[in-house]
Amino acid sequence: MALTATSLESSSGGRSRKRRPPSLLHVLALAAALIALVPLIGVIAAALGSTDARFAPSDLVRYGLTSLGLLALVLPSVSILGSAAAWLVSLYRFPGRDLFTWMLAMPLALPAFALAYGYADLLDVGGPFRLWLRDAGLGWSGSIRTLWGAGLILTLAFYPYVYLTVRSALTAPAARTIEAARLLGASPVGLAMRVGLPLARPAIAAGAALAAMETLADYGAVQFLGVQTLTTGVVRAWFVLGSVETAARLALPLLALAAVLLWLERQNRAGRYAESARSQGRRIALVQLKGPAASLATAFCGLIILLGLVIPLGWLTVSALDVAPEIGRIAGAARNSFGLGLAGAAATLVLAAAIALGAPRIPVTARLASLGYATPGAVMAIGLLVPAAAVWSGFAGSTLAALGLLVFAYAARLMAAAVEPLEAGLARITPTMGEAARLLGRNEVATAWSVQLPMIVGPALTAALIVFVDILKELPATLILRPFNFDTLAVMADNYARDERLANAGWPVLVIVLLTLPATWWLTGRIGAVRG
Amino acid sequence: MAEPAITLDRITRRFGDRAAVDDVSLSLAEGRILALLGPSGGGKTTLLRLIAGLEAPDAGTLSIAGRPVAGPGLWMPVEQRGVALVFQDLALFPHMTALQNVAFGLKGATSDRRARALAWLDRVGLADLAHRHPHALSGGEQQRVALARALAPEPRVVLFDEPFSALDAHLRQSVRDDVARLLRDSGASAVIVTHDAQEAMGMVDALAILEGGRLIQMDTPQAVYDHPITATAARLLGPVNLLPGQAEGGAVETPFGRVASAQEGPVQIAVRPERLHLAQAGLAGHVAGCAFAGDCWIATVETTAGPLRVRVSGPTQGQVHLVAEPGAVRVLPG
Repeated sequence: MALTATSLESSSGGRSRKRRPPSLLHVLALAAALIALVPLIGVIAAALGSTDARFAPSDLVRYGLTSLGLLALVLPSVSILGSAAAWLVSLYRFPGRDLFTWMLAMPLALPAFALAYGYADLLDVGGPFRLWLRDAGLGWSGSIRTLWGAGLILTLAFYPYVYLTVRSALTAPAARTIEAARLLGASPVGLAMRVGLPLARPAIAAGAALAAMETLADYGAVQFLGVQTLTTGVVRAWFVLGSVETAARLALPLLALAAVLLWLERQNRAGRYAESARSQGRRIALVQLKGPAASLATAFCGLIILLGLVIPLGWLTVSALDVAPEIGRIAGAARNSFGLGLAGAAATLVLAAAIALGAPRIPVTARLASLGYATPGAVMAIGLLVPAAAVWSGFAGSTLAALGLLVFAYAARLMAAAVEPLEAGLARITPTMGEAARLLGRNEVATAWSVQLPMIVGPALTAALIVFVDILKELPATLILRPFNFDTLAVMADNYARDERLANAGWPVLVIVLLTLPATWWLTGRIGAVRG
Repeated sequence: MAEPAITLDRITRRFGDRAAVDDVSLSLAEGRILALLGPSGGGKTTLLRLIAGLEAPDAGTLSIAGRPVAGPGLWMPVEQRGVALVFQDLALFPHMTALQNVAFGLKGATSDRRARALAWLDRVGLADLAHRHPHALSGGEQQRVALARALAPEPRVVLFDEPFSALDAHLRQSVRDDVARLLRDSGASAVIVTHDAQEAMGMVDALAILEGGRLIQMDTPQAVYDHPITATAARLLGPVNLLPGQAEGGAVETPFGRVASAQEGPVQIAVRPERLHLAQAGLAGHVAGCAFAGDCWIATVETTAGPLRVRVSGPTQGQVHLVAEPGAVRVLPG
């Protein structure tokens, strides 16, 4: 009896029934979710509806096995690398630790293809590494342009997902557990294995699932390294065979894998953003490492940053400086990238806001948006071609329509990444804050303007920046959907790379990094985990 | 005579088929402070939200300063009522500094609002911290900012929802004194929802006991303490011994003698521990335990009528006899 009365009295129960927000919000949220869903339906429809199978099943198996092989290489290595680095910087003090803490997330600023270009240029026959080896009297016949090479490159590109999720899992509540274990006399190794690993396992799984999604979605790096995955197959089927149906059939297994990874990630996450925001200042007391242990920790973190950031970016810069940049083309591509980034961020933000506001009532919308996030960009693009052609037969020729479709694809894919910070921002706004403003004399509109809106601006900027950075690095969807002769920085880099003009490819990559590096730095300082 | 600050006339608020506030009528005179007391779920917070205008009554009429603001076919929006509310969770705006929070409800030119807000922060002893955001303030400081924010627009009615529940005992006392002082200075009427009677008794003019959505009793703190009309009211105000009894022919036989009863049948007999005394003769019992309580000791005495708590001046043991002060034994509905 008393219990029912309490729940009745304790606010929302009765009130929300009276002041249910307009159903317009629900409609908008559903519409936004539908936008993420359209391309997926498009892919399935195209794949199942066609009789026009222009690829041998053996191709599908070969591509599929390569994709799985790549996952088998990347998943364990990102998990080990990312969680070991996170464990070290979260628990110990050693030379360079403060710098490493944020530097270790920085490879996220680099598109994976930038790493591939840098390493290929460095390690290929005729590259400086071979020359140096030969001068030193050593022989090496290996190549980075293999499945193993691609695995290494993607590991270096995507380990920060695990690093960031684990790092944020090792704050607040974990801190006390770890301190308790220390007081009970756990050795450093015992602490890591018996306490740290079980504590961090969900975070490792969630981060690894994100890294796996990116691995499956990657086109630029694997294509350049000559590794034929399902994603390169999708893009090739479209460009070489001109067949949406073939591309769609190759995309189907990708869609299934994405769904599995998404499920894995959802199972293991626990409000990363919100938690890291709350737990600031309640860190684990750091233990000072001494002697060889400190040197080893420094060397380990330093090596990761060297391999993941400094060497590829440094070498690309050095070789780019050897050739004169085509300023005009780069400026044009930069303008296009920037414009697309802004338009994409704006469109995504609107849709994400609709979902963030509506999701508490219709949670399925948030789940659909996440499915969009897990779907590779190439698959998204192929899925959009079908409905677009059906709706408007003159589509192929129109620049504006193509750009619109591209923005649609970005929004469909990145909505979920923008929903997360928005939801966390909205969660900070309690109903009583609005009531307080009303009691202090503001009407409903003035309350929204002076209380709710300012509180959501910060998270909205964060969301927009996440989307903007992702669009700058995006390649396959842009390749497929862009209007004729419309180059973005990523497309331009890809064009140069196809012609093996890697020094030239360095310039657009450097412009991308110039924008994404500070953005990534800001974002990782702001939120526990940047997705994308 | 001036209009009452708040008048509730047969106010009812239902959630589903349950009345959270059930046919409540009361009025509070200008400048007076009322505490709403009652078990959780008794309707205290709902009543407060009804007065504020955050809930609409399903029946009855609510008037503020003699002016009806809610009733059949009548609804004055929250922001026009000039009523202030200090929320339990404070509801400070996290994106604003203390100064901006306090200035939020003020009208006029920016510089003037600023000056007045600063004066209010000074009054609660926080002028130095005016430019801090809420997250950089301690619990007690946040409480004071919320208080200044509510009082700054000089409302005629101020409502408090469990205002001190988040503070530790020491801070509670000092914030409570601030509230009492500022309220007296401003001459505003106030309604304070609380479950802590000790906290309320010292600072309010009247207590209203709510139970199951109904107003059980409203009177001065001392009157409710000495003459509670239900067992719940008696318990809410402080420790009390309750014994079962049977009323027949207009009186009840209690362990301390015959007491007149307005009702027949099963009743409860109530007597407060400090109004029982040790004596040479009286109700016999033996001391089962004696606990130190600061300025006194509380002995638990096993008697034939049941265990009774008695306030004693020092550690006590063995066989004792108890007597009650005249008029101390109350008969309450069973």
